[in-house]
Amino acid sequence: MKHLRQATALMIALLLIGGLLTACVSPLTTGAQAKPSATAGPTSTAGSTTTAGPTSTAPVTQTTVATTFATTGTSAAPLKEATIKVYFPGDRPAGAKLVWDTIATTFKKELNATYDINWIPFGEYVSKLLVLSLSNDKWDLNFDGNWLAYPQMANKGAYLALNDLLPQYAPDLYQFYKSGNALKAATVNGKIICLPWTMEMNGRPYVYWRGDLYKAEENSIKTFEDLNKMLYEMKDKLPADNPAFHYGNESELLNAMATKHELDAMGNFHQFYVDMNDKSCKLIALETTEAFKEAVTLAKKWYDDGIIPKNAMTDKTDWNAAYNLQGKPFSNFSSHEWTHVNMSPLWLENKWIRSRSLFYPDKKYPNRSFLSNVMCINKNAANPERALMFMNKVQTSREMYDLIQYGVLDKTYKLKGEEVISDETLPKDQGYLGWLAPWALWKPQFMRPDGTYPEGFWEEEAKFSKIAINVPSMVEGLFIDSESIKNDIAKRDQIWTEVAKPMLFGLTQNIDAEIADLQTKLKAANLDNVMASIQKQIDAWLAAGK
Amino acid sequence: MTGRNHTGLNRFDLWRNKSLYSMALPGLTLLLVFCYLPMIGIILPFKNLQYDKGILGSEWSKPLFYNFKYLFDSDASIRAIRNTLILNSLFIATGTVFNVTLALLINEIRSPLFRRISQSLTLLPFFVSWIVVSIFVSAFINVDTGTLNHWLKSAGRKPIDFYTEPSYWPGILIFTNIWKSSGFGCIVYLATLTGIDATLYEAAVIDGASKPQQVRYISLPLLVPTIVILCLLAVGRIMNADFGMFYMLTGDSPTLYKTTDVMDTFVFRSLRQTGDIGMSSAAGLLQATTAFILIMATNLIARRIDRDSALF
Amino acid sequence: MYRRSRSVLFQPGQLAVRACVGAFALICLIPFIMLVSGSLSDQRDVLTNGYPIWPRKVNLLAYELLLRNGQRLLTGYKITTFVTIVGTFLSLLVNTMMAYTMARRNLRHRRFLSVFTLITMLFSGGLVPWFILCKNYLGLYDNIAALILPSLANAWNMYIIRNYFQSLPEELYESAKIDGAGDYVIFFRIMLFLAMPVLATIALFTALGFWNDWWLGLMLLEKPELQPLQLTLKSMVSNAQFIAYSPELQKRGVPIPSDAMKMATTVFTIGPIVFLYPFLQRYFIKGILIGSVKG
Repeated sequence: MKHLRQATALMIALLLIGGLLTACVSPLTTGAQAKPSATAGPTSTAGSTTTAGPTSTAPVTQTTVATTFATTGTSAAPLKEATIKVYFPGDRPAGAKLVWDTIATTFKKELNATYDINWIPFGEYVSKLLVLSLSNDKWDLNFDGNWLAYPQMANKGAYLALNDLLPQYAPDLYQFYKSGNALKAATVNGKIICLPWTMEMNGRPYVYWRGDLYKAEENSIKTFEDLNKMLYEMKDKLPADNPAFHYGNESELLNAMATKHELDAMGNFHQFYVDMNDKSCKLIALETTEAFKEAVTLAKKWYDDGIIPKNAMTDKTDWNAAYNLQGKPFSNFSSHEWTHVNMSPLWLENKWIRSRSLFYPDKKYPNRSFLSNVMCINKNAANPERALMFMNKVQTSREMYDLIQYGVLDKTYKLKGEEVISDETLPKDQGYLGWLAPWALWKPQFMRPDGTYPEGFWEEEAKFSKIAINVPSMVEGLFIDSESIKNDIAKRDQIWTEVAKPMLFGLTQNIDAEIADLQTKLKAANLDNVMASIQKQIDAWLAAGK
Repeated sequence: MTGRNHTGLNRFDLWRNKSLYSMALPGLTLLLVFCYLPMIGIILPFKNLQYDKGILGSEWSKPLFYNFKYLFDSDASIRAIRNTLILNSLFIATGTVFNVTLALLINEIRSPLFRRISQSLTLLPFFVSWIVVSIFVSAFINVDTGTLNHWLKSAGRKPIDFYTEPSYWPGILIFTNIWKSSGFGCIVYLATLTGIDATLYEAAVIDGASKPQQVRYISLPLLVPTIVILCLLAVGRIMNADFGMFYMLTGDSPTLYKTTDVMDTFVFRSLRQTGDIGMSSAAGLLQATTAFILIMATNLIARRIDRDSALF
Repeated sequence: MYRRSRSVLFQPGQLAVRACVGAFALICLIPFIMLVSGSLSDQRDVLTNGYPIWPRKVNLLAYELLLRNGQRLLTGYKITTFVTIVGTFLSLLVNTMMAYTMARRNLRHRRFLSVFTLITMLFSGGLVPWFILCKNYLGLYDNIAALILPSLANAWNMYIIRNYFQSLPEELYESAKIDGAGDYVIFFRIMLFLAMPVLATIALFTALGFWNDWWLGLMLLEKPELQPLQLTLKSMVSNAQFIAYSPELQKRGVPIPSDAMKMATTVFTIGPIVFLYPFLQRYFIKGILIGSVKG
């Protein structure tokens, strides 16, 4: 009797765990085959890769995929249904299912695809993408950019090379990329590994100020001298909680200073710059430049004279809200884009005026990188060709574009003429507008005016990026492999934040001594070695491009 | 221990006590699966990770400790290690004293209603995220608009810029830590106090022991095993700082790093732009190894104090 | 009886104790009230006058935005409640049984068990192999078990419970054994009952762990209908931080109240403390248990 009880109890204990484990074995087996290898005909090599453990090497080499595709040729045979799995950062909009189901049915004939769209909270997007990639997940498309996972994933084999697939399955997109510099930017070591966005923009500094408080012509504040004249005149006239000038991030000041000195930040690569007039692209460490010293000197002056708030470095004020609700701060750095968007109703109501001035209008400034926002195809993508066909459709079809960006007409958005609006008549539980992150899928040719961007905005933005002072970066598409110098770069980043950041918020006593100290510290972090390694890569890249 | 002369299979402890051991089986299995199997990742810091080759397929880094280099060869990293150890030790010490005191005090409250309500209230800070805490702290102490500096100014004193003055921060951090965690920290002690045989106190009262004497001679000694084990367990996490606390609360102000920069913030800052998995797992391994050595040492000491309350 | 408790209140010792505990409770309460007020406050008022103890100008926008998709929050509550109840029960069972074995002095291998458990607290292989194991080998992906199984066994809890079992008099076990009770009978009939205070404690910790967890959901889930509450809230708030405007809010001329939303999410998650804790608290009533068993 006793033994019987013991045995039963033991069984229960075992079943408890065993049962739970087996409960999820069924999803395991189904999970492995859940994605039907729905590629057309012989192309299924790409789809039928077995679930590979961490040990497996790249399941399908790029060339085999490419050749199998190539032999199939353009598929005249009807497409098998496929599911395109996509990852975006952000939060799933309520209307996502409605919208993407509509996309699936609308384009059934051409794409025959269903869509599995996933959103991951922004803060965790990169880490989830990295582990998904390491687990050989078979998702197809994902959003990325040179400010997200791209620098890590691009050079370490996480994305599929598209050299052969792109021209075949997304010919229009390919033609478009070829006509500009985008293709070069998307290429690392000879492999095309991403689909850059097709926007043309320039993020050079504008000065914005409250025009109703200080009268000056548009574009009349061209230099730091002009800016100071305004700030010092306004300083005592403003209430204490409205700073004369505000920047929440030291890079805004550096950016303005770099503009003055025509330095190119190489897409924010660890405070290294190149001179925009130097064809040989000689690398410059920012701390050794006149621009840096000027920035530090100015920051101290502003700090001492109360132009910028004393707590600017650790400020937790929601300045976005302050701007919209209170018209604060009096002035700051902005960009062509954000000084030309619509004003919020509150601004109009209060008769606040946003005045703007192009800063240093005679200086060159690099255009925004093609890699700012990209879509990439996963190395293990189940349906890479279908994903490309989809991307091609986004490039060519207004209908597809409207669906992706705005959703279903009269269900998730309304049109007032050309303008996208939303109102109370739309179902509240199917919201779709304002989803993140659509940027890599923005197409200037299809963008509609909306609450933020007025009619004709993107044409103007593209035009702005083409005026003489706005030029493509000389190092656009340069991809620096920092594996061999990563310890030193980590040290550089750490020293930079600790020593240079406070200086750029005005927390300095003796500028010359402190800059010298910063230089010594950075030098001790193997600066020469780091610069030599980067310079070597730049030189090789330049030579290859000729 | 009865019966030394076991025969047959009963000679083996495992067989003789099979029903007892079977109770450990579910836990053992789960730990094995979810903690031990993934430990293959301990090789990650020694690899040059390639996404298309996976963990095992990637090449070993050259030199082998390449991913660890940034953790040792700068003043900042040494300072971060030192700060982590010092601050966490302070947290453990102050936290323990405060939690035990709070538990003893709550235990002494006679009114059940007062006890229940006040104890519930101490749990509230646990739910407030660090980002929200940091918003309030900033509103209280920042130099321009902070309430505290308003008071100082109206009292004719000079305002203090807390975010550039590292010397205040160990105190601020210790206080916030106690505020946020003691509600929970004291519960384990309360549970232990609850378990104490009431007859012990009755006997003490008959012997004419005062309240403080009862605490000193009954409650505290009986709390010692719990105190020891909680401290030991805390030592196991001594190299891991609460990132949210150190990053949010200090506003990541570089001028405070001298006293507030810990391993987790240091690693975050060093890898913010590169996000290297190899290097971040190197930091993890270093934290684990240090904690392992420390816990071995403290466990030895604990075994001297009370054999039973040692970890093993 | 009534008179007696009154006189107790006026004992200086009792008064001092209450003053100390009361003061600390107040320090804990005030920021929380500020948080609730902050979540209810008009953004402009907060920007001008700072965070109030009591909302000066009430604005429910933060709640409106979070509740706009009430269905989603409801799903979150359902999933999280299920996970918390099932997870806490299983976790308590697994950890208590393991802890009991670790605490039994007559077992030769109990030290091995302790070390085995300890190691898991110190060393971890990191996120990557754990993720690959869960997703590719255990099938713990996109199902509810993924929210429960990985965090069932917890070394910290095991140690706390073990410690409590060790504090119980050994004679209890031995006399029960002599009476011929099997190990499972002793465990379920006697030991669990004796360990109530610590089990209540660990139940609280575990339940809060499951309740507050978003990490497992983030890593091991994709289906929106399985998202736990905390992940949903986190996702909503992190989205709010990134968009300056939603087209519709812009029409009304208001920015996203991101700080107020952060505070409002706390209000949504305070649930367990309100519902669960008073229920558990009765197990903390002083010194009834051992006496009653022995008596």
